[in-house]
Amino acid sequence: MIIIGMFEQSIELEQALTVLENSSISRDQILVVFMDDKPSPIQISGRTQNIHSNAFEIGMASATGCAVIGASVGFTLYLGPIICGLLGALIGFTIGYALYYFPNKSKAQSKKTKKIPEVAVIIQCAKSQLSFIEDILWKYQAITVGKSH
Amino acid sequence: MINEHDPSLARMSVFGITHLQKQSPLMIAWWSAVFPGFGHYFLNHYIRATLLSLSEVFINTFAHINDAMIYSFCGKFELAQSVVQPKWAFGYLIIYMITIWDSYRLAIYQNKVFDLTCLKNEQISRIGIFPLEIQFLDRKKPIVGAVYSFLFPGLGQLYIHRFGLAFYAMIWWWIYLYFSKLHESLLQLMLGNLQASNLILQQHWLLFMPSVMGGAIFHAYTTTIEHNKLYRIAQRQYLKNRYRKDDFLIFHKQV
Repeated sequence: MIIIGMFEQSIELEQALTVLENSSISRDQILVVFMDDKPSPIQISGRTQNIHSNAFEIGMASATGCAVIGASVGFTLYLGPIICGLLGALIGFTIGYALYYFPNKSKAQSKKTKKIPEVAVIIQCAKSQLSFIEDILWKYQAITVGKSH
Repeated sequence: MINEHDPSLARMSVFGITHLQKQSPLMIAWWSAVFPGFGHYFLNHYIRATLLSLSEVFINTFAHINDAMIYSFCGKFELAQSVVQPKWAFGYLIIYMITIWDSYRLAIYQNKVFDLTCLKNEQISRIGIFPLEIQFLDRKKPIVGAVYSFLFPGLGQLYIHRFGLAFYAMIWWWIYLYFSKLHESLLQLMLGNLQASNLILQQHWLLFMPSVMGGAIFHAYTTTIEHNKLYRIAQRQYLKNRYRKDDFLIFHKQV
């Protein structure tokens, strides 16, 4: 029989594998396959391929500069340095975020689903072991589990 | 031991994880301009970054750079000229410019080292147990680090296990809070006394704070993302090696 569990990369994945190895399953019966990200010809520049995360970085960089200017100018304005600094940060963040977001909007990948399976664990076992293994996989946060019947 | 010929992407020490990462050189230069030393922190040069940031606070204070900045932004140029101390200001300016250039140059070189090291794919250590600390790679949420550092700069660094930097940042934040009187001023603001709130603030010390907070948020956010990437690479290296199989048969015959 074959049973397949899909996981996110986490410590629970290793807990599941170790618990299985410490039970009646030998290492030879286990195959671990790492799934790759979708190869995309168009990559957006930046730390991640998540447009919002990269835009947040640029936003923070710009917010910091504008907050300094806002607080400085605030010393002569009625609203004072704190409010002007915060307003500066807000305006700066919006400008920075927009400067990254809009030029890259068309290149960014469409919205992803919540949890993407990153690893497939394939186990070959006897029929009697099936429900035990299935329980272990579910217990350690498998995203989905499938069996061959 | 240190493998000098083929280093892995990260190395664990009692102070946390020191790692190579891809950085935009312009972004690094920008943070060096915001606060000399911050660009070096983002490149994982902790000692020189700390010394640079110390020198920034002291020389800025002696030269009255922050006061001059405030007067300049408000258009009071004569006042700005009179407050700056030439004894310190020229040296400050030279160090300031060279720090920006130095971090920019380092970022370009370290990006190349990162690419090389990535290709060599040496196993990254995933846990270090030291006499006084346990350090490990784990998956974390970037936004949590950012929010922690927004509430109190340094807490985001605690979240990413970089406790030395965390307490350095927290101690400085306390010093800034004490001298700038920000929290007293915030209290007056919340009570609705806008005028009183504005008068309490001390301009020189207040002006360090947006930069430090912004840098702390940025550092916590981006380092969390980098640690998550390292976690995935390290686990992949480890499990691929442990469950290495070229002849694993699911079906009875080799196709």
